[in-house]
Amino acid sequence: MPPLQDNKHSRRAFLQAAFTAVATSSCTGKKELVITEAQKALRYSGISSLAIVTCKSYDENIFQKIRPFLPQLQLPDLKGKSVVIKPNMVDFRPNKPLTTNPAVIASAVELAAFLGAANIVVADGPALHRDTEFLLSTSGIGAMCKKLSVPFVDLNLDDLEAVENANGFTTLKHFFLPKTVVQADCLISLPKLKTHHWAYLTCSMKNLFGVVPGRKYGWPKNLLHNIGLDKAIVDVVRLAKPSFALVDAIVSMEGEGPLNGTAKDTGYLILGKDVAAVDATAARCMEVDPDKISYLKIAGQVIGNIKPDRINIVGSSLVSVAKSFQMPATYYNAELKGSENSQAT
Amino acid sequence: MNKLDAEASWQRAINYLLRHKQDAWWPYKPGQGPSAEATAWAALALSEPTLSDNFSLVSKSYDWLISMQNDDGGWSTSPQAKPSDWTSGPVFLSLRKFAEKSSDKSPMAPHLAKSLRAGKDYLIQHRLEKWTPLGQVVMFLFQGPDYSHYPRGWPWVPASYHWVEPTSYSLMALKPLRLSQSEPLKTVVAEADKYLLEIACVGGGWNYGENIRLDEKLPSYQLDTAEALVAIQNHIDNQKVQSALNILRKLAGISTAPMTLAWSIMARRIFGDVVTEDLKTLLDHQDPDGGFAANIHTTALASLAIATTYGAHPLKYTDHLLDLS
Repeated sequence: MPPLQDNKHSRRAFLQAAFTAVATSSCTGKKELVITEAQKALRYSGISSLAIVTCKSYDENIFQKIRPFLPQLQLPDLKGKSVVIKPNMVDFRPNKPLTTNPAVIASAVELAAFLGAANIVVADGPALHRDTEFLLSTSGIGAMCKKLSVPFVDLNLDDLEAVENANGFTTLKHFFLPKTVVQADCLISLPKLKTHHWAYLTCSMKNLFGVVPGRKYGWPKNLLHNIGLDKAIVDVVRLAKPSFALVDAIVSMEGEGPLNGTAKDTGYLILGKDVAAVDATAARCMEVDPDKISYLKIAGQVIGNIKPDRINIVGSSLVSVAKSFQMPATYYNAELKGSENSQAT
Repeated sequence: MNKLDAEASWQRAINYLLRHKQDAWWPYKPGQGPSAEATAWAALALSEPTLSDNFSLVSKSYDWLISMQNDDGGWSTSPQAKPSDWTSGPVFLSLRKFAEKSSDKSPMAPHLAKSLRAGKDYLIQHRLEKWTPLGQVVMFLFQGPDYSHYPRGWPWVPASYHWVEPTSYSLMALKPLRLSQSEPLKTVVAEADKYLLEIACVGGGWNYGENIRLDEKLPSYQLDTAEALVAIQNHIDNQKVQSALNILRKLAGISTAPMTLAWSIMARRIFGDVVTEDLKTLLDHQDPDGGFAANIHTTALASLAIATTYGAHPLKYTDHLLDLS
């Protein structure tokens, strides 16, 4: 700041500098993140196995394509357990692949039943629309749930439980989460693979923002951006505790995702227990370096493996499915992101 | 479909609400715990068209809502999920309507008046705040008291960004107060109106609260458009209001989602529209048990919407303003 002098110009300069200091001090600082041993304590240990399963069309029998790889993935035994399948139902735009395809949901239901689940529900808390019935109808997910006789739970309206955010990265001491998720024995993240204008990638981890209930946090769940998007993704994953993920990458989205990108025929699914490994592998399948994705860098230290030498891929090789994705404009120019305070998705 | 069909459907919806009442409150969905919002709308639905039919039942619910009020004057979505949040808008709206009806012939009950004053103060104090506390001091030095006047609405969660729906609920709640004709509430309302008008989508209507994002012109949502229209119905001559109304008209008969239909009907009825197509679609999607989407909140909205097609409109602004002074 300039030294004080007894003239109007210097006084104005002083005030402007002071204002700048105030304004910048009010912004979320981009300081180096310090990760504690306590935060690392629950990290997935060992090598992470996951499957890349080639599947060119939603008309194929997706479960039968996945089934041969199950013994190598050591998915949990779900005998007698209650299972929540959490797809992406974020929004509806004609001719855009925004949401998890109902055929993939059907395969997840079949998989859960195969693993012995006693009770299966499909559940989501979409972030932008209060009217979940509208999204159930436009996405086809409502019709699929009816066809399968599997209940749908609107997580935005569920009863709430306060879950302590011990050793969290955000400033929230606790999150209110839906009882359906907190009390489930197994949560399956069922994302649609898409680029994302703020996080760069939305996959099995970002998908779990849909378990944060709108009845407390709103439509959109802007608070999750206010408190730091990347940290919020990691905190929500640590609290929701997904058992495994099945990624719908049969048709993905590139460009200005997660809502305004373009469809890309990618032709595969990814299935694995370690959601950090799943997301890192998805990034590589998009020919994107996971180290360029901030939430993945944090996740690599506290959730699971993101380095290729710690990830064992069965099924199709990564190289055989990888396609270069057009990323959102913010990926190439981070200044376009602006403040997280007014972000919605 | 005729008026008798609508009335029969309305009665079935009311019976559904009565069946699912839990002592003094309602949940969002049958079998769940209390929801302040569902209780607010269900109690309002049971007060229309006349309060007397269900007065003692509804009074109990309003006493429950008053007992759930937090120390800061706001409400939270459920008793356990404090602190106060956006639910304060819909609950205040419903309490205000109850006060209007119940104090028509006799003075307002003191505990109700006290609750409404505290709720009004909470809403005034919990809009978007652009500046940090220190920033407010600095801005005051630069610009004087005018620094605090800018288009702003209400957030979902305190101390976060403003959005269309919580702003719409809060405006619906506050505008019919006599206090809204004088300061400070007059400016609060004017700034929120300005926010809504500024954030309207480029193509017309409203969504959750983003009109342009990274050069993309974002589309409107039918539900949010309807809610915003109800909130700023008094700006009937504004081109954005007329444009949004035309969007709802063009969507008639297309959406089948009951909540969206209910709000769309309520918005269009304020402007005098005949809503036969939307009403028929709504009635066609009533569940056999009389509810809508197995959702008590949605059923309450649907019953209010149906009632507007042949009776008084509970959300239409009139010259009758509630006096809270």
